[in-house]
Amino acid sequence: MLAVGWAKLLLLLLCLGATKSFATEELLLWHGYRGAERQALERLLDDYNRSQVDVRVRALAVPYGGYADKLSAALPRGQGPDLFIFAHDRIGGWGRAGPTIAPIGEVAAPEVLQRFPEKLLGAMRYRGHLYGLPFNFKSTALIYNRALIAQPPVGSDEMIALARAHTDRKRGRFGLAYSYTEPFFHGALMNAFGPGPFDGNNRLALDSEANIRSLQLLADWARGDAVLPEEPNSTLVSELFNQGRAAMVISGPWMLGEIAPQIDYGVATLPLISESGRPLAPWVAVEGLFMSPWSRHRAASYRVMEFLTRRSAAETMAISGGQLPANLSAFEHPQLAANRAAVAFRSQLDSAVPIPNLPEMTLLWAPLENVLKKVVKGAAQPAAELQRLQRKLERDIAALEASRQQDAERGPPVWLQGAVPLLLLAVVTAVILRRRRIAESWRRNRTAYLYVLPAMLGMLLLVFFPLLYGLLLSFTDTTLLNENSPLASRWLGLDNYVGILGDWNLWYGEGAERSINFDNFYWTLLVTVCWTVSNVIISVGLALLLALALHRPIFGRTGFRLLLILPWAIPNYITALVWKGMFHPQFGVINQALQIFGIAPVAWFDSVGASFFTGLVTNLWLSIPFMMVVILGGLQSIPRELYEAARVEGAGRWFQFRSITLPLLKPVLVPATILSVVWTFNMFNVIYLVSDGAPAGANDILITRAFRIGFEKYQYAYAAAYSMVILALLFCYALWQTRVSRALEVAR
Amino acid sequence: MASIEFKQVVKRYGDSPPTVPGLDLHIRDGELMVLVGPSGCGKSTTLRMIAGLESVTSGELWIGDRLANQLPPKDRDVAMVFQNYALYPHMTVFENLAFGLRVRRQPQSLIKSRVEMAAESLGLGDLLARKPGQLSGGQCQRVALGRAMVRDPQVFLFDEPLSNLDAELRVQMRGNIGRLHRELATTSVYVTHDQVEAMTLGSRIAILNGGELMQVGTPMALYGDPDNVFVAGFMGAPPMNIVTVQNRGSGLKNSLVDLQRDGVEGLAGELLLGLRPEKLCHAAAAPAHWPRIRAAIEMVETLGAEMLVHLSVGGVQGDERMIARLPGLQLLTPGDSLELAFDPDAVYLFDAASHRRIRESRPVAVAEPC
Repeated sequence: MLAVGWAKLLLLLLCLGATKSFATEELLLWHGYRGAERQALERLLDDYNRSQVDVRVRALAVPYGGYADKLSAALPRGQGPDLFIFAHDRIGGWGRAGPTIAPIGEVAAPEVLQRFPEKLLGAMRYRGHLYGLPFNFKSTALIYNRALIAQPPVGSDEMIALARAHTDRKRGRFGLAYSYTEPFFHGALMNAFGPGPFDGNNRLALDSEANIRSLQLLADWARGDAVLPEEPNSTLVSELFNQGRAAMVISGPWMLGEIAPQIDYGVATLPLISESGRPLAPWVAVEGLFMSPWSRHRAASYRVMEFLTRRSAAETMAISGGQLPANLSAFEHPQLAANRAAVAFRSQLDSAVPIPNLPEMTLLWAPLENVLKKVVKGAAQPAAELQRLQRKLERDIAALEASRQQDAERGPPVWLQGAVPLLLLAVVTAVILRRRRIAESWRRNRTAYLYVLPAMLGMLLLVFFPLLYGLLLSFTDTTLLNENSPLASRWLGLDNYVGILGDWNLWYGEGAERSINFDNFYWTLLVTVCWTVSNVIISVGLALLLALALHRPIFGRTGFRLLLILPWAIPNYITALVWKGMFHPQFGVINQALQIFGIAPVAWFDSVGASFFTGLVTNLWLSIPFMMVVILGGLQSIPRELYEAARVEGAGRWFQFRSITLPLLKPVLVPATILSVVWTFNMFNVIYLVSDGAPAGANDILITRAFRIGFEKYQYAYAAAYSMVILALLFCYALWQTRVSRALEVAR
Repeated sequence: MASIEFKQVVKRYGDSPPTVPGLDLHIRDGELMVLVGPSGCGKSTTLRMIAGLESVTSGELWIGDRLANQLPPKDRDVAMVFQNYALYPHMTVFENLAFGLRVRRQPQSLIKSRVEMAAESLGLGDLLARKPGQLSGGQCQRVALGRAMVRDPQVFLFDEPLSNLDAELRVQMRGNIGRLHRELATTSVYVTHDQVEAMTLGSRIAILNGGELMQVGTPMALYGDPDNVFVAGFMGAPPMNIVTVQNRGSGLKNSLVDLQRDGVEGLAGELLLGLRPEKLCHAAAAPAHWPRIRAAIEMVETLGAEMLVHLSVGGVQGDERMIARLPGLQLLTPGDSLELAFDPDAVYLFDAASHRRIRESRPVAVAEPC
């Protein structure tokens, strides 16, 4: 009887356990939210979890900086979340690259899709497949200072007239401010004149009449009407607006949180283009809820997507999270209906255009920004420049497409297929042949090997593996579009290297329009060599002068030393950004100082020389402290008696410097110079953050160029080959340098 | 060649008390003057003032017939040998030797012949292509000497040049320097803290203490006729025994010594009595009228031919101590009592307060053996 009782109890417990384990099946949701948005989302998910018995959603906030890369790395390999929230512009790339996001057209019920306007749903479609449910949207609109602008303008002419009335360049006041050299913002003009960068068949049409006219209009605003500040960025725009020095700005809902409390602002839809009567049509970025094709709980995932796009959820995300929900019915909520800014952004959606989600679009941002910068400065004609960009991008797109088409046909050459097993065999044979010596060495130096082991593993993992992977990658044609296909199918051989080293297109254009092709490897190499040589010579020279000055017992020596070492203590990207700010043509302290002395301000980033100079100054600022400390150390190690002996012998200062200081500093100067050459050669931060290779990539060095090829053109393999070429150059330099140092060593 | 003269020369760093409070010293043309004294006595500073490496705060410094106070080092025509040799490590021996001539833009042929001559006389002929890092200490020192020689300057300055060498090399180098000075007869100033070096090298010795000149004279004059307790104690190894004695009018007495003496009636009640260690001998072998000393043997340093016997009265913690230099090869045991005697004419008297010598009418027996 007792046994039966126990059995029943056991059965009951088992049943409970089963129920429990069934309920703990969980869905993982990734998002990039912080602050109020995150809280609102988590609250919704808590509500959802409470209402469910069989499923639980766990949210993971991924830092925004690496979010896209993390998704791209995890999803194709069957890892990562069941569902995630991300902007729609990557859909095309992911859709083409392989199993990254799951189409949901078959599971999405029509009544659910009815929640969203067709425009936002369209953003979620690629090549006829629906990949996600729209969650929220962001576009730009006109934000104006009500103290200066009584009534927002209706037409563009009216807007510019108003802007002109509020512009006083001398006092740093502008009628209109926005990041007009960023393609995302210029989209409003492009879309107002025509279909944007792609034609109706999704073919690139940058040099269309409409796009040329949009650029001309922008150039008129910037140079003709001169109502816009130079070299704008989002920080500058919000600063001008907060100081009451910009009457109107074009920006998105993200700026509202940054507006100073004393500014009474209004939000309005962007005006109509006066000549055509068509509205300025800003690009809208749509965040969607997407599903992993690997999720084992796809039905459950879809239910979560459906839940999060319900009106009640949309209201929560809008009211508590500050989002503009894609389920537009939420705007009927009294609290939202009363929010004038939200209503204005909602109205802007009517004319806004979703950013094309074609993979080609990702290639467009960086080069189009360069074109915009050139055109607004009058350095290029819109038509010619857009035609050139069109040809360039066509080539880049063709390279991407080619990589994909060749997938099936390619494979590594026969010799390579045979080479790998042969290599393995050779290694194994070598180990077997030398097994006695290896065993002997292991026995004798076991402790030493054990000590070295962690470092060896670290090196293997962090240095040799990436290096080998990079080397392999450089023999393929891996791009954004085929990175998930097997390595063998991407095999290309030496073509990338031939492409880099055999690129003798040093010029483009003909006759008067002929100019240097800044994308060419040899130009970049020349810039890199000039950059390295000038930096090293000047920094070593100046550091030597400073060290000599500070070596003497002058007044306040400790203070000076501290001051001069200080730049070293600040992270170099911060220093770089500070210098970039100081070189700003309109608001930078350098031009303002020049003007005090009656010198005309310099457009620092417009010419190759001036732009090179900005990088040079910044890098010198960064590198001199190190050099100076090293040289000071060297100076201090020279015995004082040598100078005394020389003085007694009758040597003057210069003779002492030449025959004692310099030769005895050599053991310090040589390694410091070697290091400096390598660091400067690969000084990514300064170039990328200060001049950003301006103008038009003319000042890019090899390492920034490699980055652009990899992460702006998405030609990963070509970038890997570029990196290998850089490595080879530095390797040759190191070999040469070692020989020189050894010669010096012998001479000592 | 030139003489050097210090007239009331003061050297002061900042607000601190002067390192050299007022030096009057004449260094004759062609002599080798040794500046000797304990560390921090200002001897190196004095030398560096001659070289022009330190400025003169006040007073006058004459080199030859030129007032050198403001003269830069290169115009003084002096050569200096440094304690740490100060050889240029990146230059060969030849280049080191030629440095001064190159600075003065001498013709190549002259440089070559002068360097080779100097190298030859110092035995550096085979080392000309080497760098200082490949030389021994003695070789480095010879290169440093050669570097001073090649220019044929008016004055040689030596700043403790032998202190980094081992004892054997030091003796050898001392000989070298002495020979060079005799051959070249260049005015030389030699700084050392080693009184043996001073005694063996110097034409004259200037003893400095605390920046002040204690006494100048030939080695034997300083040894035999010291002006004060410091000089008496500094010259000679082991130093002169100095003991405090009570003046009884008719004689001098303390726990160790009891000396009948005429002519001390007018002197202070307490005096310092100086007696060289070699002037103490076994009582058995001494004349009967020599005063006796009975003391305990505290320690015996056996040097072979002779021994240094440390004596004390009243056991190990005795009040008065003395050192006696006795013939070697005797069996003396610490703790044993020993009776010694000394020549009353070999005694020096000093004022206990000023430490100055009290010169008596009788001569001091310096030369007579015990």
